[in-house]
Amino acid sequence: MSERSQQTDRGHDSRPIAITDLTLRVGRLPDVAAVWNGLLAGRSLESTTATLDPVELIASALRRLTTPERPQPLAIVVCDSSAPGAPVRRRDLEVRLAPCAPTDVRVWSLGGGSESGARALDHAGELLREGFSRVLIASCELDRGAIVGLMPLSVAVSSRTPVFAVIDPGAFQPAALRLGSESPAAQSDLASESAGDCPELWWWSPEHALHLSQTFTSLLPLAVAALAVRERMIPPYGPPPSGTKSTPATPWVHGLGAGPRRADIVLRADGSERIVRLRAADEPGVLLQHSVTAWPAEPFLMAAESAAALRAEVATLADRLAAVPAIFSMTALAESVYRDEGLARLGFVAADRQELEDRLRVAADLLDGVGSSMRAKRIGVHLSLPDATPTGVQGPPSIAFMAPGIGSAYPGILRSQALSFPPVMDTLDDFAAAWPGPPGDLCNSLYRVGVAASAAWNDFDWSGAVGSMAVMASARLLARAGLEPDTLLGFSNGEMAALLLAGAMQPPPGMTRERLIWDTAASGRSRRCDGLIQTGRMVAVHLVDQGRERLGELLEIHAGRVFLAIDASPKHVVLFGLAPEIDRVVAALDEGANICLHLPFDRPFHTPLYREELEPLERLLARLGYRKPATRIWSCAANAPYPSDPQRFPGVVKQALTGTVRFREAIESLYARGIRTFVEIGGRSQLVGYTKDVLRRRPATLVGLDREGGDGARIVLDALATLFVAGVRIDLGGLRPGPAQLMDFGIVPGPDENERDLIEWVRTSPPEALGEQDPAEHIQAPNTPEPARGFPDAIPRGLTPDRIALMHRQLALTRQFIETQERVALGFIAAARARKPREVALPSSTPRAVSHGPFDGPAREVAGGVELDLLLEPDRDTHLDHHRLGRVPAGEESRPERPLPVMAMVMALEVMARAASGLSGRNGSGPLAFLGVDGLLGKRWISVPQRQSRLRIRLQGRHRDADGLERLSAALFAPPTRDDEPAREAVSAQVILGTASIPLEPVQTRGAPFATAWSMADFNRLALFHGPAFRCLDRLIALREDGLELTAVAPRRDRLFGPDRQAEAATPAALLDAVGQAVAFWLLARGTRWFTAFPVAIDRYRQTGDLPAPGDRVACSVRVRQQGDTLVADASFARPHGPVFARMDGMRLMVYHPFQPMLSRLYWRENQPLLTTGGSATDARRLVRECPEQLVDDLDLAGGIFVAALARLVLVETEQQAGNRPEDRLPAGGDGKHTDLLMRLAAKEATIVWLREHEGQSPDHLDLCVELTEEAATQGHLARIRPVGNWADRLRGALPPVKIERVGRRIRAVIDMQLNAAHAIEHEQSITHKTRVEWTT
Amino acid sequence: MDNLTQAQIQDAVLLCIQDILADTDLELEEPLGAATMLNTDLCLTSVEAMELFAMLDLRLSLRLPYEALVMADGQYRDELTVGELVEFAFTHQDAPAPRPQAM
Repeated sequence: MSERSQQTDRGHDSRPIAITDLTLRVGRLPDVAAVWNGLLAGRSLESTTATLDPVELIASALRRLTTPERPQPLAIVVCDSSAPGAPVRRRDLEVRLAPCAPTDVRVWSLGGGSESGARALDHAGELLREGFSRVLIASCELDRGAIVGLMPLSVAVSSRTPVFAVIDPGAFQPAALRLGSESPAAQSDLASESAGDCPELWWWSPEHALHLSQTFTSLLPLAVAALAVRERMIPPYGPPPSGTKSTPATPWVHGLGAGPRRADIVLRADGSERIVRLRAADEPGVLLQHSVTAWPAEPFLMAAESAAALRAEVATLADRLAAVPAIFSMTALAESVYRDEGLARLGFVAADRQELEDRLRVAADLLDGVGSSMRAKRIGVHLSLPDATPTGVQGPPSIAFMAPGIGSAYPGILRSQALSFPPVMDTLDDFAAAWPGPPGDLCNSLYRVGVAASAAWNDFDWSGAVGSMAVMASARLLARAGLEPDTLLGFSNGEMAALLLAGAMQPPPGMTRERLIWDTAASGRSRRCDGLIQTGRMVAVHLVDQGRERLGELLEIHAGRVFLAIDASPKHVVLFGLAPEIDRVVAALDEGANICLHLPFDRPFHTPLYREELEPLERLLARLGYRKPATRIWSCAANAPYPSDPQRFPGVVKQALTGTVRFREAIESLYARGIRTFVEIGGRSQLVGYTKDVLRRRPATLVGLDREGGDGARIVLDALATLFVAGVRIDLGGLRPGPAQLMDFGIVPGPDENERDLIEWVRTSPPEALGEQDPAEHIQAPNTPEPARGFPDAIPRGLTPDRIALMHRQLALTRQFIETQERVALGFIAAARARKPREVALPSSTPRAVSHGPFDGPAREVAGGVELDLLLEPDRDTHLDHHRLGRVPAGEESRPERPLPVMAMVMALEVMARAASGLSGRNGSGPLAFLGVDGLLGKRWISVPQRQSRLRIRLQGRHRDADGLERLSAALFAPPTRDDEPAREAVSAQVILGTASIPLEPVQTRGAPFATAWSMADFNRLALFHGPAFRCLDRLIALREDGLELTAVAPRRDRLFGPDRQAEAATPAALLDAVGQAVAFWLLARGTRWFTAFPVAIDRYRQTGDLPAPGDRVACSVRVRQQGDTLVADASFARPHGPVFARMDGMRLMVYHPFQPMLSRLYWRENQPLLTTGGSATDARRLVRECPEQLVDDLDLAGGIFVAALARLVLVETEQQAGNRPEDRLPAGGDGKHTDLLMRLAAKEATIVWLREHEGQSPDHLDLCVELTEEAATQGHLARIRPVGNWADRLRGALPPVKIERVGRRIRAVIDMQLNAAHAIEHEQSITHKTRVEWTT
Repeated sequence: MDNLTQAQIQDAVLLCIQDILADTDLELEEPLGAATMLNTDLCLTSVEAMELFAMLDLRLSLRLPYEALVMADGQYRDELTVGELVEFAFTHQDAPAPRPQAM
């Protein structure tokens, strides 16, 4: 434990570990390939899962990592994201993995949860310090048979060992992260795998070395974390409390023998995109960064018509900022407020919430007239307000780009900009490609630090060339942002850069501009080395008072020996002189209190003496091509625009190099010509200072893109904000890094005799067009020309609906993992230690009988816990009855294809809660009450095949956590369908009990409501919702962009929920179930009708205080977001004007299209696992084709909810004549049975609406039967609707007949109220067109 | 002439900064401290920083060898604090007038 004591307060261990090299490619794992191809071949996931043992998969990975040559011990840290409390088979893992590796294998289990990944990294670091050569972090869902990620972290690995691989058998797209080698010549410690490409310029561009699919961009933080571990900066790494915070560098020793290097990680934890940057500050070439946006801050650019309007915008943004959650997208927020129309303009850059708040406050103060201009300038809040009496030219300002030259470059220039802006990186790449020496030399030269390195920058030619490189990069950046100058002004040798930028000077054929710049630099160097150039001394002079007049006198006295090389500004000049005259001039200037600074240049640049050096340059200039520039170029030497004749350009260039740089005069001239915006493109922003000195207080916008010692990227963003405020149009989109590159199929690199290449398989599979929407389109990457699904060509053909459904499920599983990893990367736990929960025994004595309510008999002890039996009686359990998917007629219970009641997930919650609180009794503080659950997960349908069914609940693993709450693992088991089948776990959760009440916050939704004050009947009338028909939901208050607010009425209780005094309900289960209905309501309101949403999980549920009594009206707020094909809802319930008594976070609803096979499974396989898909896509059609009577009967006999939806499936598929095979075709339009079905459907639905409209009754399809008769007289049909069950008495005599008419190609069901003919309700169904429901009254 | 104290020098620096800022739209909103940075906090350009040095020389009747302050390893420093300037002036107030550096 001594190592722990070495940790700093931040948790850093400063003791280095010799991690060498960097893992590169994902190795091929045969098991994964077999699983993947098996799934694609149509085998069900269950059967596939059965062949994939996750332990075996880990073992397979282990075999790849270990060799007999490396006998060091191996540790495995398993993070099991299964349902909380699920035991991790540590022993099993150890026993089974031991033979796989020739070394000692130990397994550590950290359980699941969002922090498990972070703890794993922390733990891995400890293990590495303790001597394990390899630590494998396995992120699993063992109860689902899934390994979602393996991350080997090794002390010394080969260049081919995988860093990270998502090998979830459910992965839609096997993701591979390939991270570039830091040295192409890295030594391999292990035998290398199949060869792969090594990018040439890897170290310039992370993009070269980083390949990932669009889907898995979130994996990058973890990958970078792996790199951090590899680089021996071991997390933990506490997130900063607010804003961005750099961590101190932690040195390590480079394994390849170079000197120590340092790095820092910038982790932005609040308020912006997640960025983890690993930078090497003094090691050449290693620049690694992950960021989705790659910007250190976000520009906020706002415009309005007036100051008052802008002030209102600022206030609105401040309000929105106050309402956003802890983690939000700064980019999205900035984009949402962007507006560039308006004369009142505000621009600033903010990295996180804190900065944004500060800047908004400063902006508000400025607009209110009480702000500090100094503070605004210091933090970069730029504001421009329209003049009361506008004068002069309106419109975007004229812009001059100023290209600096000598002295603008410095060590480390452009590093930050290169990492953030692809155009800059591209430019550096271009220059690296043109570099005459090895690319590494250029990198070394640019980024090496130290005295010796700095001395290299005193090389006139090198400095000038790099300065030109910076000019080109900056110009390219601005061009990508939509900025083009009206005038280009070159300072010193920046004139050449200006000519190149304007296209006025063309390199010789076969030579790039970049190479031209390098050659120009080399030519001067060679002349100097030959001793052919007269040298002297360059001195920068700051002139005071009469200094300029005195200088003029001195120059006249010493003409020909001392020259004015640069006249930068009224106060700043640069002289060149030969000894001893230059010393005399300097002494004289000193006497006048002018300040003279020696410059490290000795060549007569910008003097007539420089002509001696021009010979090679003249030869070079003669080889170049010249043309009229696309942009006006202003010559500092001539203080005039470049001549119209391009052939005169060489002469102007020579004049520029041998004459005074008349920058001061040039600025005056440009200003006189209306230029008001001056942008320095290049390093240091020295020209900005000169320009400011020239213009003094005259109005102008002066912007630089760089400053030595500053964050270059942030300076660029601030410059763009400044320009925006000055009226320049900015296109930020052009600067953002593009989408991640598509991955290549490295995980299946080559087929063997039992496998096929994925692409080849897809291409050769026969197409099975079905006409439905390709769900894969939902995951289309933005801004990409084609979907980023990993398929190289167009949408792959040959994917059947069930395969697509399968992939959806797989993708959901993988995305769940991704979200976990995002939280891991974001949260880097500072000192996470897995605390072993204190075990609390369940009552050792005979468990107290829990035999009231739904429980049947006393609890009984089993190994590790207790079990209870639960009795379900649909006829007595009203809420269960409401959730049946069909009604079993008397005497037909044995028919397996009948739709069955299904136990809602929240009912499972209720019974778990009651069982847990009933058995747990009390603790030292008092009786334990049910407070909620974590991780409620529905895994399988619980259907009730009999009138009475017995389920089993198991409770185990009781323990007390650090907050004093007691936690129990609960599981509900579905009854087996056959005697020889075991009971299967259907629902699991961790139940939480406690003695104190907990405060709950309401769920907030945002945005202006786009629908208010509807009644559920109103909406039901319009949308024909086929769910449990809003049994609790009462009235819609507001429908918003991200959710809805409603009222609900607590329903009466039934047997299941305890009508008697002793058995009060433990949860407001019916209200909770209404959340799912509310989500469906929200979906319908947003225009989606063809879907099924089914809740499958609740991440967190809490309740406090008393539950509402039956009939109590409560307020409900539901917030919905989409994650792939899953909807996630948060909901809170509160009494009117009262506190929140229940809150649910993360109710997850799987959303299916009706074409999913789930519907058919309801008929054929009641025990099909919920969270797996499979089955044949033709089941639904087969059902309809073979059993149309079945459907009709169901509809007649008040068939289940999904019958109507299935009927719609029939209608749509009929219309589209799906399937090429005759046996797949549905009954054609006009078929008697088909029409019959439509008529029954129309009649029933018309009746439902009529009842709601005019009788205030709300039955649904379950409660009505249809009897259809033909009327010979009218040649139509008459439908008589008969209520059943509880509705029989309530609606006795209340149902009018329904006339069924065929009107052209439509079927119309009409309820003609004799009392008021204006209230006839018609329900139309189209036989041939897309089904549409119309209501006319 | 008695040597100047650091406090006197700091006062002189403050007055010079105020004079420079008077020529702009910016006002000094916070008290200057030793850690105040000329570029980052006061937004002074290099030209304005040199002007500050010149004004300081005039106000203190000194000729300080600023080259040693602003140049390091042949490169201009990118930032300077008030404290560093005050310390430099205090330390070098007795230095002879600067002479041109030999190559």
